[in-house]
Amino acid sequence: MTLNARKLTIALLQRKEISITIISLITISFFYSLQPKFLSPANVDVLLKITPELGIPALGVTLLMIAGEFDLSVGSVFAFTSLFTTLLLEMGVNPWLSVLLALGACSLIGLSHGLITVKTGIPSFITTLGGLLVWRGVALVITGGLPKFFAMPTEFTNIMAGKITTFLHAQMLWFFGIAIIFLLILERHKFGNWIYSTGGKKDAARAMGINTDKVKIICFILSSFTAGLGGIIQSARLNQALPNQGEGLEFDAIAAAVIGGTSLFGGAGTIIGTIIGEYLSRIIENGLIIIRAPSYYFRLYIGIVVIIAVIINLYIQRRAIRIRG
Amino acid sequence: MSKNKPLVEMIDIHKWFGRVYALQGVDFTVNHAEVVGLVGDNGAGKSTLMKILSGLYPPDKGEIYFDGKKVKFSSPKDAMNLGIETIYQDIAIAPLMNITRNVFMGRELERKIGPISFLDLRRMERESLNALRNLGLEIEDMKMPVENLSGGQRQGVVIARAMYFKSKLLILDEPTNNLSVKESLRVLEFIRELKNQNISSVFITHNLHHVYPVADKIVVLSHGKKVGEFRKEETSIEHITHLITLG
Amino acid sequence: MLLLLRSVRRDKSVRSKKENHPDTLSNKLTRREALSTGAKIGIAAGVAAVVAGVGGYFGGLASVPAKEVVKTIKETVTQTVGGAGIFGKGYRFSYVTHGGEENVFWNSVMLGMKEAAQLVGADAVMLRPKKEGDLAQESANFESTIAERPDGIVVPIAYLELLPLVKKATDAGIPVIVHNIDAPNAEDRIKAGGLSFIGQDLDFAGYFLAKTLSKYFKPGGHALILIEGPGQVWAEERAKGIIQFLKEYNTTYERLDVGFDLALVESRTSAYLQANPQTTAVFSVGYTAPIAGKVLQSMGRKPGEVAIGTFDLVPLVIDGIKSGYTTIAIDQQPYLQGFLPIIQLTLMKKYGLSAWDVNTGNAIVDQSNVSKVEELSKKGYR
Repeated sequence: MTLNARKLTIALLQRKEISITIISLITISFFYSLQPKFLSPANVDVLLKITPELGIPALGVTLLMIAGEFDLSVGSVFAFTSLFTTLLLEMGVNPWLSVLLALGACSLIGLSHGLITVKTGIPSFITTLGGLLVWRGVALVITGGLPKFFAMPTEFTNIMAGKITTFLHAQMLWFFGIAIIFLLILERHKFGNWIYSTGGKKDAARAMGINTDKVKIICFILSSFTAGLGGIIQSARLNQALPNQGEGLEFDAIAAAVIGGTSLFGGAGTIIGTIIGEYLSRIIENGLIIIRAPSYYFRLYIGIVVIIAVIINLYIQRRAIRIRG
Repeated sequence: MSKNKPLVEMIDIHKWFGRVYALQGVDFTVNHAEVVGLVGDNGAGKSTLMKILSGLYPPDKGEIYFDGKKVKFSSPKDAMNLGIETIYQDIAIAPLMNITRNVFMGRELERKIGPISFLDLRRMERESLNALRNLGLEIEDMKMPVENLSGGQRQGVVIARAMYFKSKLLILDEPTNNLSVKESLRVLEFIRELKNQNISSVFITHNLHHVYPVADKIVVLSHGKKVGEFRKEETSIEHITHLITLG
Repeated sequence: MLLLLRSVRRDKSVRSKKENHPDTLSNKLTRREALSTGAKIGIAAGVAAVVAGVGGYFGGLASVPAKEVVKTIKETVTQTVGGAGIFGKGYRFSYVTHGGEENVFWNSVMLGMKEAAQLVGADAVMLRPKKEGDLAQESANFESTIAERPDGIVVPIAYLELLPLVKKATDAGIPVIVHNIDAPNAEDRIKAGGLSFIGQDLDFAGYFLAKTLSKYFKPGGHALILIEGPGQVWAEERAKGIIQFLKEYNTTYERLDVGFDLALVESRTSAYLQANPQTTAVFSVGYTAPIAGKVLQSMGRKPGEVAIGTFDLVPLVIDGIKSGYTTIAIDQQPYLQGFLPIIQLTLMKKYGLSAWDVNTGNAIVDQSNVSKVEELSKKGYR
């Protein structure tokens, strides 16, 4: 190997996303070989349209997981934010203001999860498990369990989830916009360095003067905020705020992050990995429909992919060390 | 900064943890460009004393003077601002992060693009490479995660960090623990290098043989009390070992 | 890990169900079909082997999941290729529903679908969301299957938001039949392109249930109506019918929102019945009213003191009727709702015949016929 090729190989192998990209390509060719309609424009458009609303919460969850904490409440906050918006609408509040207030409320939810976790030392797994029950409960109380019409002006629906052209939907711009901001924070801003250090070794970060509590609380807020935004986008797309929307989202989001190389123990993970992980989950879901497999298989495949992705990540890391010698 | 006064003076330090009387009136002094070995058995109070000096715990009673001025720390940040850097037993680095990001953890270099400050990754990389070279540590790839380094190299990264940020006092908590003989020797080299650059250090260990070759002064703690303080030339390994075991 | 374990378990249950209905027709496959089947399996196994191989090579740990991959894909493919009747050979039909994977009612619909598909030699799949009533996933499934262009789509209109997708499918040239739940206003469904409705007339079924049960309680009493799917079309339509009769029968009523979570139904119903002992009748728009029977039993009331009427022949309902506490149940015959759409779609495709509405029924089940029905219900036909 020439020196340059060697350097390139090392650089590539160092990117954690490489394994997940390989798995995605294998998966795509698998579905395509069984049913070419998988890559038909109509189906690709479907995939692009439905992924962002579930992917945005996964971005927030990724930041929080890198900081070493979990958020099991995102599915409930996802529903709560939409339903809270409809509640404000019914009270006659201006639609735009309603959404802002609802997003503010869900940020406060994140703040409360963060404060409880860092101040009492209760594991976030427990705090946000409580959040999962509480906010779903509040959502049900708000609505009496009934679906609500998400009565927003057309301009709003268009901004959140309108179709711009084929293959380009407004929700994709939100998804990639937030992804780019988070990417810059993580890789190019000192706050990103603080997030990695807080999750990678909290004591070291504190000894170096980083306020790890503050870092975690901000990540909790971002996690709740992205969950709420995802809920608003889904409701705008379906014109409905449903008390059961987003159920199970917490595990989908964690799975997407882990498939994309985020460590369950904190300190490692990337935004690009989560994006690919999220698309891979949706590709498997959609591909199984396209090849007409019974829907039961989805969980089985996702489970297998999670395990394979983690194993390959480990393998590639070891391999990268060996090449470097 | 006056050369006559000691760099650090801790006077009559007491610390309770619930019912445990961890430090029972300890005096501790570090002079300029001095390597102090702080030794004692497990639970003697060595780490507690140093955590007080690094601002992690407040003392229950006692005074601390730094460069002749009385100081009070409310967080490690206060101590760091004065130039007291601590390297803990479990190493103050995040293993999954790369070398550059570890060196600048919490003290990142920034560069403004428009109204927003971004990391100046290029400069951070160059500076950390230089800092490691100054210490005699040659590592080619600054983007490598620290977990790929050997134990001695990791200590080197942390010491280089302290040197780069112009610390005046470096507290090393068991820096040679779990290291091979060769790696330990390397860390001792780093400490000699610190002294050459006029940086004082406190070397906490329960292994006297590690500290003896480099120390100028040795302080012995036992059960929360100071039981001895010697210039190296006044004592011997046998004498100090006797003190540690008998208290 | 948890996800994986759950999936594997579910996978097993699917397998055992298949064993009950062995694919006896497969030996009648023509050579061409056999070849294409072989090719499909070959590709699937090949890719599976690559995926598994990669996993195994990299970790060694992956051998268990890898085996699962191969097994699953083979099964997926054999199941996908289907049996081999001749009449509707080669047709592919998709069922899209809101009934979650745990909803037992939909298993009967699925059985009807599978047996009809086997009979005519067509291929049929049912797309169910992971969570009961998950509109976002149901509409995503719907859109995905439209992209795959099957020969027909069968869907219940549980949410009005599904009607635009019915139109999208129709515009793409895919015939759509609505089953189980019609749009509240049939006109809307027809305008969107839904060709026929195969299921219960829900509004009428509610009325019919209340009227039939009225033999067992006097006018002037008080009724409790359990609503398992508040705001969902099917639940509200049935509730409307029940309420209409109760008003005619001079009976006061109260709605109680519950779900399909039986523990929750029990706690709410129990609280209500303790507070309102004057209740003379209990209805449910889903299948959970028998829980009220259990509550009354534990309160020391005798069977028949409070009349209980419910829908759908799930095991809970059959046990309730046998115990005497549940008075009657109306069976909407879900097997037919799965079976008939395929027959209609096949005839439409093959001979250009038009679809037609079917009321799958208001079969009454009470103590006189419960034992006979139970046998069939166990097999999934009622």
